[in-house]
Amino acid sequence: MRDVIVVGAGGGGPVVAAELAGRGLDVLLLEAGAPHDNPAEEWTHFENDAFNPADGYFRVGPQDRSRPAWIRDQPQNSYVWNVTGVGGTTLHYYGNSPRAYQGAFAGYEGADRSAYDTAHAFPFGYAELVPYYEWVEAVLPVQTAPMGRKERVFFDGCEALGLPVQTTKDTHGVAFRPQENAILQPQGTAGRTADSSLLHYPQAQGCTFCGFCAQGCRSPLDAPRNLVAKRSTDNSYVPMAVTASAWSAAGRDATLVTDAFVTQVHTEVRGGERVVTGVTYRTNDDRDTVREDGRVVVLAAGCVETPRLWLSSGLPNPYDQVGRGLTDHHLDWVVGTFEKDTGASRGPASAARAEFPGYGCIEQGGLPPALQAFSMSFSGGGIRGQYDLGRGKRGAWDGVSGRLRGSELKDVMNNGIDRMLSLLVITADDVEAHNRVRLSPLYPRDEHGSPARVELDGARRSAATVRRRDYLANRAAEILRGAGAKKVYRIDWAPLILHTQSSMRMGADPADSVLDATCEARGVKRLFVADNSALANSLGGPNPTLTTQALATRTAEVIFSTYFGGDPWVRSESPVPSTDPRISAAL
Amino acid sequence: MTEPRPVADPCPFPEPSAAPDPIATGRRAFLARAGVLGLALAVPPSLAGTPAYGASASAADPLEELVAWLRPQLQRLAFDTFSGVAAFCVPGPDLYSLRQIEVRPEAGGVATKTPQFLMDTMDRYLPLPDSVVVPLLTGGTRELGSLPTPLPRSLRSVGLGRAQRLDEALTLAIENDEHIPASIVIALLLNVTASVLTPASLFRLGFDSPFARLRYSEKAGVFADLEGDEPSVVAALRPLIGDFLADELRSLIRFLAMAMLALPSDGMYSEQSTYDRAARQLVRRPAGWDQTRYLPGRTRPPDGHPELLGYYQGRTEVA
Repeated sequence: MRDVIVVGAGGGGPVVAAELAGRGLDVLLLEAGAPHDNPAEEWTHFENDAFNPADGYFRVGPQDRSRPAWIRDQPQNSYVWNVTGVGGTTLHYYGNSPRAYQGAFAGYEGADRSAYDTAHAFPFGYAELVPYYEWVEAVLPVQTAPMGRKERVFFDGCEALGLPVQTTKDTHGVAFRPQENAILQPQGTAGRTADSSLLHYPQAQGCTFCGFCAQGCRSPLDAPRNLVAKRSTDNSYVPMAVTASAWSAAGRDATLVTDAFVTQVHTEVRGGERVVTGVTYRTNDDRDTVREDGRVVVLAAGCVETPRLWLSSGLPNPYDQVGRGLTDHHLDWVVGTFEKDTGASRGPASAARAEFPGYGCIEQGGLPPALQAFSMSFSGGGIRGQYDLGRGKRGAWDGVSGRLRGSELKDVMNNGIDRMLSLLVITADDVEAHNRVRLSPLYPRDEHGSPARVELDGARRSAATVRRRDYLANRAAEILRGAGAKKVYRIDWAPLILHTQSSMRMGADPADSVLDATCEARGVKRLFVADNSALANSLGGPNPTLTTQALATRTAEVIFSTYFGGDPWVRSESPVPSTDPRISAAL
Repeated sequence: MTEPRPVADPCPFPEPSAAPDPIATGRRAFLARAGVLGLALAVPPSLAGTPAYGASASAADPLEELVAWLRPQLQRLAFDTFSGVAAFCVPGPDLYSLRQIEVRPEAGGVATKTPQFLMDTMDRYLPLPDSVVVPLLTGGTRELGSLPTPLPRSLRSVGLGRAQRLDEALTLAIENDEHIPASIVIALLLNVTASVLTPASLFRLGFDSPFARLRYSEKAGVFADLEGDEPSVVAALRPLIGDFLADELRSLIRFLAMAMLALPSDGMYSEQSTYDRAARQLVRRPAGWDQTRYLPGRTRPPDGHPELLGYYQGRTEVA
């Protein structure tokens, strides 16, 4: 019998695992995908090798790349872009770690209160989460991003618009700033050379500006795993979890099992209450089935897999809320072409952003060529100049919105990958019940159960969500023009389901939420959720990972104090950073 | 790259010795629109007819042999179709770009092996649900065939018996294969839609694929139809297959259209066309890298860049 079983080693699960292992609990961390324990041999800096949905090393599928990817039934023009394996979707994330907007929480009384999805606010105030933000920001750590050419170009645009500069972690109004990134700042030769012989640890430390955040960070060369620049959980919380005895006096190393696809959550009725008892998972390339019992189970398999597992396990769903309310920030993409070097393909993928509370936010994104071309080919609004599906939008960009194809795409690409700059529009999208994850009615069950269906139609968003997105797209185009862009394109993305939130949302009302205010499941005691799906809403726009990790830290405290007789620690102790040399040594 | 060839070949094959039930007219029209009936013109004589009465029971089943012959022909048809897609998304100086009258001097998707890349990716990534695909490609297609579009004389001249044999082989392949390759389903879908929207595509000489014979704006029309509220294929099938399957098919088609329009970017601009996966290195720079001036002069991506300019306003941390 384990103390705690954590299902999923992505952005949130390892946080719970590391924190509870640090308290001495017997923690089992299960991951369906690959261990990714030797990036130098497994990963490259090539795009298709990394991202091919069928067999890329960052796909949704088993660790054996010759085996088929796992099915994601998507009944619309969309693309769910998750990653399995230790690190989960933090493997390809940009490390952007802003705090949520305060208007996404209960009790917010700001003048712009009505601009938020207050019907689905977090069931506690923003101040409740701040100590957990501070804790995670110290553990990862989160640091102010340095500036390269593309950041300079972005800042030029923001300055031209007269936007103020934000110099705090909390956002209080419209502003621009360097990102607060979970990326170690460059030291030594990092960021100062392309000569690989000079980019070995410890001569180089932190971000080397290689430009391959999305392909998995393994810089600087030969760095200990917990000192790799980007603080994806494979480099931060997972190393902490499996070395807990080295950095915590009371710690007990967590057990990590990969290639472990959980197919069933077990429960029983005790004293009139349904209580979780353990899980069953398949391993050894699906040849073996293993049952593990646990006093507490934490689901952290992500916004798609967690509700799928819940439904597939036949767990209670009295209000039909499991899987509903999925938010994705209704992302959009605005691209400017320049007649100067923007450095778009160099340096951390995104190191600057602008905040527009009440609407969402904008960040610049630098991409290598295939991703850049993909990003301009992916639209819900047809093909520019050919058809627009009734969505052709006009604004501060040139012409109508829509995807670039044919000669127009090639003209933009041939202008030079480093003579463009792209801005990601991250919308404060509303929680809507019809945006959901459920079991596919189309695909037959396989050895894991019914595949997940993700229903999120870009043409069926709330009027408020569409209005906020259009507002941000106009601001993005203005920033690019202020920075000197010669031509600006709005792509009007179809749902690129990359930021996923709130499909198992916490809330105050059982009728429209799955989890209570502690992230414990209603209807199944001792069962918690600690991934993005637990978020109550889309945070008002900011990128979700940091908030998920802060919430997961809070959840770990709840588990420890409620079910293991311990005391909370975040307000009384100092965190151990994941870069601690004791972890390096233990690894 | 498949060389274009005329579709109006004379028919050198005898009709089968035994007359099976006549193939439905609509079904034959579907096969024509999907580009499959054109393949009948190339069926080897030994496979074109039904076995003679009294033939040895130990002889190989001619229908199985026809199925074995048909599978690579379908792959070839799919390649032809996907070449038309690659040229549409990223044109170059190739014949497919020339046919659509949208040509570029620099290499495009066809030159960067994007058609095969698309087929491989779709086949491995998308196991299409049989519950939708089998009805689409078997019984349901009579409705597609009965859409009011004339067929060219060359295809009308394909004998009923030969069309029937080909249809039986196609049906057998569809029903027996564990998973129908997504690339073939998508190719048939594109070709049927192309020929319904642009009937002239059936009459034009050149590629096997009606879609590949379209001009650029006509290809855009196909995608507008597939991404629209009710694709022509779905509208034709809805009365036959019912609303549930029709809605599912519509949803699936929208996803496939997205993939067809987005994935060629990866084929063109990633390393896929010049990558030695075993050695984990490039054999030469991809054309897309040269065209976009990505990592100039390099075949090995660097481990860093001298890109650090400092910190905005000198601020290295915030509270």
